[in-house]
Amino acid sequence: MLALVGPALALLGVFFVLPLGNVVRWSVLDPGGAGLTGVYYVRALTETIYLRVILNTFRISLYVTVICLLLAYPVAYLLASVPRRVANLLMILVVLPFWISLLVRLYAWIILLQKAGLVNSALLRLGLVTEPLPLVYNLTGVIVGMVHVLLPFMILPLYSVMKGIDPNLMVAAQNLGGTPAQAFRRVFLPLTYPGIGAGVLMVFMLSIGYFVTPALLGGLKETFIAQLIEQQVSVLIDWNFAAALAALLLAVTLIVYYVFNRALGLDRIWGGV
Amino acid sequence: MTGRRVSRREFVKGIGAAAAAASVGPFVHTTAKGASNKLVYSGWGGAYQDAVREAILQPFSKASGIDVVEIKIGPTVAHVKAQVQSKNVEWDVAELEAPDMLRGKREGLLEKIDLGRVETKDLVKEAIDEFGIGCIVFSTVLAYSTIKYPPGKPHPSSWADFWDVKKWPGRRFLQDQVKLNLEFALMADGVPKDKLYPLDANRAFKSLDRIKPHIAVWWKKGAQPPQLLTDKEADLGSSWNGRITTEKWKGAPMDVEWNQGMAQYQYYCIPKGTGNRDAALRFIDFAIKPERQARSAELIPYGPTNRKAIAVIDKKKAPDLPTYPENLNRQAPFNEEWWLKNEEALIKRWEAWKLA
Repeated sequence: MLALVGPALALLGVFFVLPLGNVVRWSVLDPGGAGLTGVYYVRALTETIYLRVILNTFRISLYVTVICLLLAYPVAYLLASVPRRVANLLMILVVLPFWISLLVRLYAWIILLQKAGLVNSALLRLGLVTEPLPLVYNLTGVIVGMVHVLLPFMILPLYSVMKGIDPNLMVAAQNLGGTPAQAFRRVFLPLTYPGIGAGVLMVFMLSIGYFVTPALLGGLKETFIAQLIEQQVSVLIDWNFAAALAALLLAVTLIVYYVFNRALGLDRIWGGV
Repeated sequence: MTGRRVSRREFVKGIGAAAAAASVGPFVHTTAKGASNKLVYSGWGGAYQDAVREAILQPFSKASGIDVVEIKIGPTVAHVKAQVQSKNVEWDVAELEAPDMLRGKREGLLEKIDLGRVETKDLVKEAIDEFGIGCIVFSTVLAYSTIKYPPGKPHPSSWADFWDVKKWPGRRFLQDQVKLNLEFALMADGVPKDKLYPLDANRAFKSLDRIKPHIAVWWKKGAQPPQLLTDKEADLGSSWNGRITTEKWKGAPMDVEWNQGMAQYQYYCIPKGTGNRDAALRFIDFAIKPERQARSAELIPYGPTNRKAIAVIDKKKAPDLPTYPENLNRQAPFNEEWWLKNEEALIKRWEAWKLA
C-alpha cells in the first residue's frame, strides 16, 4: 500500500509541503541575519489595510459561495434523478467551463456584460431597460465570473451525496403522511448536509485565493488579498512580508476549515469515520 | 511594459512558485550555464518580441554566430531574484522595466555592465546605467476615441481637460495603480509638469477624489484601453502609447495626446551569476545600434533610446514614437528614483483609497 501512495506522497512533499514550509520560514526570517523575527506579522496585523482586504475577500467569497449553493442544489438534484446516460451528458455541460482558458473566459464575460455588450443590447432592444445596466467592473461582474468557474465545485459533491440517497426514503416519508415539502425538508435536505458542507468549503476556499477574476471584472472596491500579496512579490519584491501575508491567509483558511469540519462533519464525505 | 500587467497578474502562483523555484532549484535543468555559443534572452512576448526577433535577435545570431534562445515571459525582478537566490540563473539578458532594474540593482541581483564594452555615446542619458542599458521607451499618455473627438476638432489635451467632466463629457478610464495617477492628478490640479517631484501625495489624492466617481473602468491590463475604445465602452483615458498606436496604424479610430504623457524606460539587464556575461555584453552592444533600434521601432511603436535611431526611422512612423523630439518635449519627466523610495507607502495608501 505504502509503495503505491509513495510517489504521490513524495510529489506532495517536494512540490507542496516543502515550498509551503519555505513560505512560513520566510515569514519569520530576519532580513539581516539568520535570526527569527515577528516584524512581518506585526506589520500585517497592525496596518489595517491588509485585514480590511482580507475581510473584503471573505465577504465577496461568501456571496459567491451562497449563490453557487442556491444555483447548484437544483442542478445536482436534477442530475441525481435522471437516468445515468442523461446525467453524463449534463455533466459535460457542468464541467465545460474548466476547458476554456481563464483569460478567454474573462474577456468573453467583459464582452457580454459591458455597456454596449450583448446582454445590455438585448435588454435595451427588448425595452426591458432604458439605460445599460452596470454589469461589469463592479461586484456583479466579479460574482458572475467567479460563480461561473466555481459552480462545478458545488455541483459535484452535492451530486455524489444525492446519488447515494435511497429514493425510497422520500416515498416512505410521504407514505407516513408528510407532504413533499416536508419530506424534502426533514429527510432529503439533512441527508445532503455533508455534500453542502464539502461544496461550500471547496468553493469558499478556492474563492479566497482568487486573483485574476476580481482584477479584470471588478471595480475599485473588489480587491482580493491575493492581489496585495502579488504586489509584494513582484512589484516590491518584499518576499518575507508577502510570505507573512500568505501564511496569515493560510492560517485563517485552516481555521475556517476546522470550524466547518466541526459543524458539518465533513469527515463523512472524505470517507473518514 | 506592454505585457507587464499580464505577467504579473498571471503570477498567480506568486509566492508558491518562488518558493518552489528556491527549494527545487538544484534539480531544474540549467540551460545557460557555461554555454558560450548560446544566449538566453528573456522578453515580453507578443507583438513586441516578434519585432525584437526580426530587428535584433536574428540579425545578432547571424552577425555573431551565437544562437539566441528566447523566453517569453515579461521578465520582472521577482523572476531574477528567484533565479539568483536559487543559484540557478537561466537568463543571460532580461528586459526589465526601470523600477525592476533599480530594485535589482539595490538588491545586488544584477551584473555590473562594463560600459567600456557597450557603445553608449549616442544614447539618451536616462538609458545609461551601470546595471542596465535602456532599450526602449514607452509612455503612458492620454488616449482618446477619434469617433467621439474627430480629427480636426478639439480633443481633451491635458489632464486638466481629463478632470473637467463638464467641458469634456465622455466615459473615462485610468489604470488601477498609484504610480502615474498621482502625477496626472497633480497636473490636473495645476502643478507644472517640471515641478511634480517630490509629489504632494495629499494634494494628489484630493484631486483623485474629484475624478473617482467619473471613472468607468480602472484597467489592469494593457490590452484593455484599446479594447474599451474599440468597443465604444469608453472614450478617453490613460494608456500605454504602443497599444493605441498599433491599433491606429491598423486603422482603428483612436489616437494619443502626447502633452503631459510620461515616458518610462526599459533596460537590458544581466542577471547576476550568468555564465554568459561576455555574450550578453556583445548582445547589448549590438542591440542598441541605431539601425537595429530604428527597425524595431518601425515594427512596434516604442521609442528608441539611441538619438541616431530617430533620424533613420520611417518618416511616417517617427512622429508616433515617445522619443520623437517634439513628443519628448511635450511630455513630463518621470522620476523613477523618487518612486523607488516611496512606492511601498503609497501603494498602501492607494489600496485604502480604493476601498474608501
